Amino acid sequence: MRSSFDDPLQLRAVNAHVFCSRLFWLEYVAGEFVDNAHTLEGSHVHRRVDKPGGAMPAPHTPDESAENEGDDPWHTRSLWLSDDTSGLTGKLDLVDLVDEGRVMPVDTKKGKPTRDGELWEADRAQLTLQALLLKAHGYRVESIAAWYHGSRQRVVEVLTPEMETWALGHAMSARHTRSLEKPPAPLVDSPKCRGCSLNVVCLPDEVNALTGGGAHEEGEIRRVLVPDHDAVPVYVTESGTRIGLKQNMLKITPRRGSDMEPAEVGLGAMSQLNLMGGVQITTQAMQALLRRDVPVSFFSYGGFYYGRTQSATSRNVKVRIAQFKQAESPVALDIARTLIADKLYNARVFLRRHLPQGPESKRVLRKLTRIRKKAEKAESAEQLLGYEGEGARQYWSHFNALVQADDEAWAMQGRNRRPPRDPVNAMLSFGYALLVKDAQLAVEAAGLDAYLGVYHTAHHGRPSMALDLMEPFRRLIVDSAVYLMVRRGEVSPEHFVRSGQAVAMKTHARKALIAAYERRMTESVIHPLFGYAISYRRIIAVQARLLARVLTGEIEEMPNFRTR
Amino acid sequence: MTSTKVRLFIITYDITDDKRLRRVFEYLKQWGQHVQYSVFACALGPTSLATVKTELDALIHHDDDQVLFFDLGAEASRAQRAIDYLGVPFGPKQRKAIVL
Ligand code: SF4
Repeated sequence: MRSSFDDPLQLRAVNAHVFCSRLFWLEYVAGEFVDNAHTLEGSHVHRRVDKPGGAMPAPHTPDESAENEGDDPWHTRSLWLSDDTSGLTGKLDLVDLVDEGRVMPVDTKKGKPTRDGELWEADRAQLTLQALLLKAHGYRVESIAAWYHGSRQRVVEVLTPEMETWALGHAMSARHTRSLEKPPAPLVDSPKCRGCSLNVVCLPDEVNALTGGGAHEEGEIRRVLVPDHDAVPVYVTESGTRIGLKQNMLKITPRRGSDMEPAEVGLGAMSQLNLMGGVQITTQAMQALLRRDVPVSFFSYGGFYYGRTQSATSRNVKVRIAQFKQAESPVALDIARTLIADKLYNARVFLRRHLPQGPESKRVLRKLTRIRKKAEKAESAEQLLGYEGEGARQYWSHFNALVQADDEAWAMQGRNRRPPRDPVNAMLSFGYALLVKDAQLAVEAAGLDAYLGVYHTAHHGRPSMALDLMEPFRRLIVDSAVYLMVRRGEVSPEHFVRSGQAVAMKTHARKALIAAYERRMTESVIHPLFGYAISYRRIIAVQARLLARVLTGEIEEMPNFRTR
Repeated sequence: MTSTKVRLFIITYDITDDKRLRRVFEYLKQWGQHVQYSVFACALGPTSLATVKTELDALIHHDDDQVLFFDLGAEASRAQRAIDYLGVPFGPKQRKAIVL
């Protein structure tokens, strides 16, 4: 895991280090990698130069060889070089023979040169080190060049001894950064962050705000860099439905006798696929989904969440090591306290918004505040569990009254599950299963192991960390969706079936609930700490990343999520 | 600078070979709405846009074919206003979860 100071250092990594030492650390020490627009373009531009070709002649034997006759100047592509003395290693895109045994490394870069038409610093450092590698192998190098694909322009610079010293200095400090246990602090207000491939992982402004770096005023944080989702979730809720692949589309065929319409959904336009009950899916379709990195989650017909497929997980091993180290530590308890306190806080907000004003509502709101304050000081997970339960009793009896209003059909027998015994509980359980699924996606994208929590104990097959993360959101997303559905008459008692004690939702209720849940997840809310408006789904993703940072020690306290 | 917003793109193409034409059509179908012959409307964020460009690039012949991307702006606001039609109505599809 730990690399020694002298391990070979890749030139590409030095390039990243010159750009931002934190980027270097995240990518080369923690192993984070995110495909984004920039890296995709980068690899696209590189594809053409990556085909090896042209033998490299020995040094001091200029282009007299037969294969370099005619107008085609000699060059070689995709050449790996290492040098034990300097400990550098790297791939050279292209080496041009200038003349009389002098060669010039040429690197292909996406984008354009600097405004002054020069090499970017990071590129200059990388190319200078390439030149040094070539020199170490006996070649004469007097200039370096980059081909900027964006402006289709070659920029050549003369190599000077000052440049060499400078570039070696950068290699040195990259080695130093590599030996750090924690990543360097994020850049402050840097325009680099916007184009940085790891900004989603790094969260520069959020981390700076929480650690005091960069001294942001409240509300001054730039909009979060996590991109909007352009793709949408897809849910298939009817047993017997078959899913196959046709070109790049999923072909969804209802079972015979169903009144569901057949459908075709494009792989590119979907962000996740959720299958409920006995849905058949072909291997071809599964493979295509894995290739596109679309997670497929499985639920029972009644909405029990089984788990999901995973193609490539985030590779941040450091996060997982920290997570396991911190399990049952004071840090874990700290996080748990924040999550449960936020849960109680948001429960109170929910009741405050919906309960009719009066002495009774005042009483319960006061009580919830008191319990929340106690929870904030809980000294053990058991104590916390106690306060959580106390708060839940208060909350559920009032939620019950709210949702029931004057229609007995919506009466709850408290909060019950497995199996739910009334329609409202059936909807709540189903909604929480949807939320676990999204919380698990967020937790895993942040590099955490979903099955080891900070609060929920590890039970077989229970994604404890996802359950932890979603605590502050249950009331705001699921309870609120269920309440509004009932209030607005989007479901009615005949949309449920009772068998014995258990109550289950019929197709209409399930579909309506999923739609209501999704509306809530895409709704924009103001992040109470950072002041920008983003959807609940993205907030959960951000909270998951921040939680991971608390575990690794970069941020001291788990930031709250409390609505107003 | 890359926007983190989803933008609406009108993608049109002129492909000189029938087999490739078919492939480009089948490829684009997964990303959005087929509007007219050789015209798609796709709401794409930066990563998807880069993916589409990269993957289409591998499908076409550079000397004979052409694909154009027209950026109509942030999908939610500007793009809706940028489109007008005569004849059969057209409006970009709302993006929301598909529940079947
Ligand atoms: S987002 Fe900014 S601070 Fe973070 S790694 Fe990238 S460039 Fe560095």
